[in-house]
Amino acid sequence: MLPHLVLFRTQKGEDVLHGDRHAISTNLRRALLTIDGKTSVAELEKKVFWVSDVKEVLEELFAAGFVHHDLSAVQTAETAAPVQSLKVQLAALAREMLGSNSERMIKKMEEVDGSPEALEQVLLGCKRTIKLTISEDLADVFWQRGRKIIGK
Amino acid sequence: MIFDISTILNIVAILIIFYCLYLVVSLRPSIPGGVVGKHWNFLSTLVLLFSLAYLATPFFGLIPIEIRRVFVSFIFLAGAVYVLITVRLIFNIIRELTE
Repeated sequence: MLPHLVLFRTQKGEDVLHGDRHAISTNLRRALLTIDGKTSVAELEKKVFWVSDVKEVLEELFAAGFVHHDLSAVQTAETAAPVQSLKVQLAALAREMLGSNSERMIKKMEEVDGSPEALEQVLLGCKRTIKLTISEDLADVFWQRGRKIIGK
Repeated sequence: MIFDISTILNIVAILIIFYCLYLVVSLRPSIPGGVVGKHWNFLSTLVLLFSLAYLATPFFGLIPIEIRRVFVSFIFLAGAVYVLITVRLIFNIIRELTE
């Protein structure tokens, strides 16, 4: 593992840290706790005296998928912001296209967890509702624009 | 007016059909168009027609027999059209929800 790399905890790493205490060894847990997304591997090797064989342990954590050096590959709580952003964009689309009829669609969007799959299901439901009660043409346009927003 | 069983049934029918009229009018803003909205105005017109026809039923005795027969036949026809539209609408809704 290159000394200049800065490591981040992955969602899997967060889960194992906050989950079963016996899922990983104490040494691995201690090492995982030191990963802060700021300190390089070289600095960790110098600082973290309470973890034995730091470099090997870090490699083990990396291999297990508990840490990563590429931030884009790391799913953390910070990814909640883009999810909120998707919901906000979809709500704005609903308001723009449906006006006063958008409220029930927005309510549906707010009730789901925000994953693209869940949002796609909500969009499908909205499309059907629009097709049945508002406009058949508008339903298809809403579906296409909504899918574009969630990246489908 | 004699209050026999048919009069009571007529009154109940009038109350129900006016409740239906209230429903179709109050639901209208929620259904501005689409598969359902397209048929809603026609269904509402039929409900209004039924409401007027039901209101007239207690006075059927005052209407000449020939006119009464035409009137009843016309209501039957409107009823058949109403059922046809409703069944087709349900069919379209089910198709839309399952496609």
